[in-house]
Amino acid sequence: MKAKLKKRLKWNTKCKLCLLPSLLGTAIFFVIPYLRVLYYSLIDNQFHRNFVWFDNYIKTLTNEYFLLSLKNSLLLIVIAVSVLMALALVISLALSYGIKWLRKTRFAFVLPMVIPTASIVLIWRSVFIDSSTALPIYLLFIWKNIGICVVLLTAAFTSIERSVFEAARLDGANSFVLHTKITIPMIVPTVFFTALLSIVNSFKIFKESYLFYGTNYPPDHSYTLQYYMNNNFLKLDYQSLATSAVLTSILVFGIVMVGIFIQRRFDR
Amino acid sequence: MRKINAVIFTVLALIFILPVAATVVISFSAEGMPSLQGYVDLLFDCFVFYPMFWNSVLYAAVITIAQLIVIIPCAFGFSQAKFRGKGALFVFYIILMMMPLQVTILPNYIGLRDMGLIDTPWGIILPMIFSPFGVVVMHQYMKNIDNSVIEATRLETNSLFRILFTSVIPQLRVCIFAVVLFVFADCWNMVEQPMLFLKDDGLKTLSVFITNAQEYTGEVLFPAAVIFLIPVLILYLFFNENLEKGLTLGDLS
Amino acid sequence: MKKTYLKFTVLMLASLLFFSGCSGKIDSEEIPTHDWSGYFVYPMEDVNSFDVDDEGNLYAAAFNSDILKVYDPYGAEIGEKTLPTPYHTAVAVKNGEVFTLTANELYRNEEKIYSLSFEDNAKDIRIVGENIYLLYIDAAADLSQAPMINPFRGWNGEKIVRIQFSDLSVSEVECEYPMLISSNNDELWVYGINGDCGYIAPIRGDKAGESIPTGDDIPESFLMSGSAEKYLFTEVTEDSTLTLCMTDPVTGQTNELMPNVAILDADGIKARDGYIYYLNRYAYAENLNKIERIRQDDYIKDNVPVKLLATEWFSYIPFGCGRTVVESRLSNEEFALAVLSRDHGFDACVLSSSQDFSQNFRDHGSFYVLNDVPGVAEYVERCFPALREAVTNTEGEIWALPLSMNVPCAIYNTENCRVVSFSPNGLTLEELIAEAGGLFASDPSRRDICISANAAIPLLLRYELSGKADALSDGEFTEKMNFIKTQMSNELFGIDISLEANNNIHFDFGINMLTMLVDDKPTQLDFSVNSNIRAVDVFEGTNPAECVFLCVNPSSDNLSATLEYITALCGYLSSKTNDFMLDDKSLYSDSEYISELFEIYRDTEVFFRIPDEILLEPVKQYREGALSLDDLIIESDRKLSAYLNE
Repeated sequence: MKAKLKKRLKWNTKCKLCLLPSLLGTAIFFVIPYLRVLYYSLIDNQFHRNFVWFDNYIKTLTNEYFLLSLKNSLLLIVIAVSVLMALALVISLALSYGIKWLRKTRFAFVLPMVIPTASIVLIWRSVFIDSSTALPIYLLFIWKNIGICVVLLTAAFTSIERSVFEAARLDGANSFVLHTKITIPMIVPTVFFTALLSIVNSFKIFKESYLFYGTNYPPDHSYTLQYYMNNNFLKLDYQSLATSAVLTSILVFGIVMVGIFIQRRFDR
Repeated sequence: MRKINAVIFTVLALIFILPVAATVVISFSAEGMPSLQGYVDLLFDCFVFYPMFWNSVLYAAVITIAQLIVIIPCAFGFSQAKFRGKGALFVFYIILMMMPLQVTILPNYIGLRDMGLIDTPWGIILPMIFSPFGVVVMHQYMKNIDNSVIEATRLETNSLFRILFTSVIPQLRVCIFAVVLFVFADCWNMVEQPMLFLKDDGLKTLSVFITNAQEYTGEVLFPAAVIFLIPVLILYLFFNENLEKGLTLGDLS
Repeated sequence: MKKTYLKFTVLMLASLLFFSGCSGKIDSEEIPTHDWSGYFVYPMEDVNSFDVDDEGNLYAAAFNSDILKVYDPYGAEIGEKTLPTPYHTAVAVKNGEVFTLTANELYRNEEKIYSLSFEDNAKDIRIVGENIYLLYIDAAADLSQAPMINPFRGWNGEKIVRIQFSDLSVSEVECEYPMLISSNNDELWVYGINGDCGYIAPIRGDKAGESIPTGDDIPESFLMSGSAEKYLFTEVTEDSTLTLCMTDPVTGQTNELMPNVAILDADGIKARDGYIYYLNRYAYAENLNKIERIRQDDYIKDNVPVKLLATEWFSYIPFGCGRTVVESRLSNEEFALAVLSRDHGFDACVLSSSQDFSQNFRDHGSFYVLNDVPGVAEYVERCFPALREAVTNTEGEIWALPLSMNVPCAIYNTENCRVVSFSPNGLTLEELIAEAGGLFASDPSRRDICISANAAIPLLLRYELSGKADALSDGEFTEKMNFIKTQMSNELFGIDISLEANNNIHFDFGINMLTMLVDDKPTQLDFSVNSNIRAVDVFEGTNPAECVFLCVNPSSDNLSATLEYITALCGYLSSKTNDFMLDDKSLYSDSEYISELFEIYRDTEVFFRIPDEILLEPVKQYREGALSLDDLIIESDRKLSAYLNE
C-alpha cells in the first residue's frame, strides 16, 4: 500500500515535499512568531489590546530618533557596504588572477571573521580614541567582514576561470570580450549575494558598536535601528519595538527588491 | 606593476592581520611582560571554561549537520519543483535571512517558550537549524549544477534519496563545504541566543564565557579569544582547497 | 402496553439520575465550616499565655495579668475569665475549664491540682482526651549523661508527667530525653533527643509510640499538625532572619512560611482544626507579642509558591501571607524578555522606583490592573498620598501594589548635637553635608563620620535624575555639580567605595550624634524609646521617596491564586504599621520623633529614576576627573534627550 502510494507520487510532488521540513521549521520558528509581532504593532497595549491600526506606525515614523536611526543604518549600508564590496572585489581579483603566492594571504582576510567581539573591541578602543565620527565602526565592519566577501568572490572568479574561460579563449575571444561577456554576467549574482550578506552583517555590527561605545546611547552618528529597537526593548515598550521591527522588515524587503531589480537589468 | 601590487597586498594583509596578532600577543603577556599566566588562569583555574567550550562545539556541530539535512533537500526542491509563487517564496527566504536579530529575538523566545524549549540545548539548536542562510546559498549554487546527471539518474531509479546521494550531493561538494564553514562560524559566534535562552550556566557556550570574561578571575579574555579562533580556523584550513576550486552563485531571481 | 411501562420506567430512572446529579452538585459546593480567611492578627497586645478551645475561641492572658480574655474567631472580644494567679507560664482550656500553669503549680480553675518542687520549672501543658500532660524541667535530673546534639541546645532535665482528669493520678511518661510537646486535637507528640539525633514520637497513655528520627536541629518551638500528613513546625533563625518554617519529618523538606516570626515559648504555637496560632514576639514589630493565626491548608494543600521576578540589581521579598514566595533574579535583558513575551511562568515582579525599569513598566509593561482585586483599592486609599499617586497611572489604573517606602531624612540625637553645637534643623541637604564636612575637618580622626556619595548624589540630583526636561542646562545644575566636586571630594566621602558592597548599611554620622538613614527604614529602628532622637527633613519642597512595587503578571498560570495572595497581602500591609506607609496618624505612637517622621513621610513624592548611565555614571566620571563639566552636560543632555524622546 505504502509502496504503491510512493510510486504514485509524481516527481514534482516529491520535489515539493523536499521543501517541507525547511518550510515547517521556518513557519514554526520564524513566521508564526513574526505574525505575533505584526499583531502587537497594531494594538495599543498588552493588557487592553485595543486595535489601533496604524497609530503606532505614525508614532514611530514621526519619532525623530527612529528617523535618525534609520538614516544611520542606511548610511552604514550605503557607505560601509559599498566600500567593503569595492575592496573585496579588488582583493579577490588580485587573488584570482594575481601571482600564485598572493593567494596565501587570503588567510589573513579570513581571520577577523572569527575573532570574538569582546576582545577585538578592546583593541579597537585602544586604537580609535576619537569617536566624533562613525569611522571606527565602519572600519571595524569592513575589517570583520572582508574575509567572507573575499572567500565568496574569489571562489566565483576561480570557477569562471576553470570552466568557461578556456572554452571562450579557444573560440578566440579577446580579453575585453572575455570580461564583459563572461566575467561580469557570471560574477553579478555572487556580487549581489555578497552584498546582501554584507547588509545582513551590517545589522550584526550592533554588537560591536554597543561594546565599543559601552552605552545604550551612542553618539548620534552611530545610533542605528538596532539601538532604537534594543532601547525600546529594554524600556518594555513592545509597541514601539514591534512597529520598528515591522518597519525594518519592510526596509529589508525594499532592499531585496531593489537588488533583484538591478540584477535583472544586468541580465539583459 | 606586479611588484607594487605585491607590496600593496602584503601591507593590506598585514593591516588585516595586525589586530589578530595583537590579540595573540596580548594573550601571551601579563603586565607588559611575556607570560603564560592568562592561559594558566584559563586552563587550570577556570573550570567552567571546558564545559562551555564543548557546549559550543556540540551545538555548532549538531546545528551544522542538521542544517545540511534540511537545506540540501530544500534547495533541491526549490530547483526542481515547479509551482506558482516559487520565486516569491525564495525572496521570502532572502528577506528572512536579512532580518536583524533585534527583530527576531523576541518572537523567537515566545515560540521557544511555548514549546517548552527555553533552558534546553534545543532552544538554541532548533531555530538555528532552520536559519534561512544555508537555503539561500545552496539554492544559488544548485542553479549551476548539471541537470542532465539528475535526469540520467531518474531513468534508473525512482528513489529520491538515491538521486540526492548519487547525482546531487557530489555536485554540491564545494558548496556544502562553504555552507558548513559559514554555518559553523555563525553558530560559533552567536552570543545573544545562548545568553537569553539558556538560564543554566552548564549549558552556555564559549562565546558567552568570552562576553562575560571579566566575571572570572585572571586575565582570561585574550587567551580564551585565541582558543576561540582555533576550531573555525582548523575548519577553514581543512576546506580551503575545496573552496579554492570555486563556488559560483546563480541568479537570485 | 408493556413497552409503555418500560419507557415510563426508563424515563423516570433517567430523570431521577439527572436530578440526583444536580443534588450531588449542590452537595459538593457545601460551604466550609471554618472560613476565617488566611492570615489574621488578634488585636490583643502583650500576650503571655494562650489557648484555643474546640469552637475556635481564643483565650489569652497578658503578661502579669490575671484576666483571661476570650476572643471569637473574628477577633471580637466575647468575654473574660479570672485566673488564680497573674504569674502564668501557660494556659489550657477544655470544656469551659481553664488550666493555669505557673513555674511550679498547676490550677484547674481556682483549684490547685498539682505542684512541682520549688526548684523545678514548668514549661507547658497540653490537654489530650482525659489527660493533662505537663512538661517541666526537673532540677534534680542527672545532666551528666545529657545529650547535646548541637553546641547550643541539649537536654536540660525536661520530663513529662501525665495527670488524669478522673482521679488526678500522676504518672511519669516514659520517653527518651523529651524537649518539647505539642498537641493536635486528640494526639500528643513529643520532640526529644535520641542518641545523637532528634526524634518525634506520639504519646499514647504514658508511653511513647514509634519514633520518627529528625535531623540534628532542635527547634525553638514545635508543633505537630495535620492529621493525614504529619508536619513539624519549627522556628529557625537562618541568615539571622526569623522565619516560621514547616518541615516534613519524613522527607526533611523545609518550607518557609512566615517572615519575622519569633516564638520564644514552649507553648507559643498551637494547632486546632486546621488553624495554627502562634505568639509572635518579633522584636521590631510595633505591636509586640500578638497572636497571629494562619490557615494550615494555605500551606499544606494549596501552597502554590508565588513566583516573583526581580532584576539583578534589586531584590525584595514581600511577606508571604501563607504562601511561599520564590524569587528569581534576572539580567535586564532577561527581565524584559520575560515581561514582553508575556511569560506565564512567573506570577508577579518586584521593582524599585530607583530602577528605570519601574517607570517603563508603568508606562509600557504588561501588568494586571489591580483596581478590582478585593482589598487593593482600600489599601491603596489608606496609603500616603505619594504612594497613591505612584501606583496609579494616567488612566487611573492601579498598576502595582506599594510594598515599602523609604524617605531619606536626617535623624539625630539632640543631646549629642548640643555638645558640638550643631543643629540640623532648617538645613538643606547641601548645608548638612557641608556642616558635617566641617565637623569632620575639625577632627579628622573621627573615621566614623561618613556619608555615602552613592546615596547622597542621587538625592542632590533628584530632579535631574527623574528626567525633567532642560534640567541640566540651567545654572542650578552647574552649581550642584560644583558643590559635589568641591564638597564630595574630601575625605568625608572617601569611604563610599567600601559602602558600595553593602547597600543596606545605615550611615552613622558621628558617634550617636546624627544618623542619616538613607537605605534603612528609620521606623524599623526603635528610636521612639529614646526621647533624644528626632527627625528633620532636609529637602526644599517635597521629599524624594523611594518605593518598592509589586506588579502582577496578567499571563500568570497561577493568576487566581496570585490575586488571592494580593488580597491577603493588602490585609497584612493594612495591619502593619512598622512599614510606615499608611496615612493615618492614629496608628502610630505620638512621640515627637514618630510625629516628625510622619510629617516627612506625608510630604513626599515618589522619585522615579532614569537609567544610571545617563547621568549618574557621567557624574562619577566627573568626580574622578575623567570628564569635564561641559562635556558632562553635553553628553548627559544628549543621552537624556534620546532616552526621553526615542
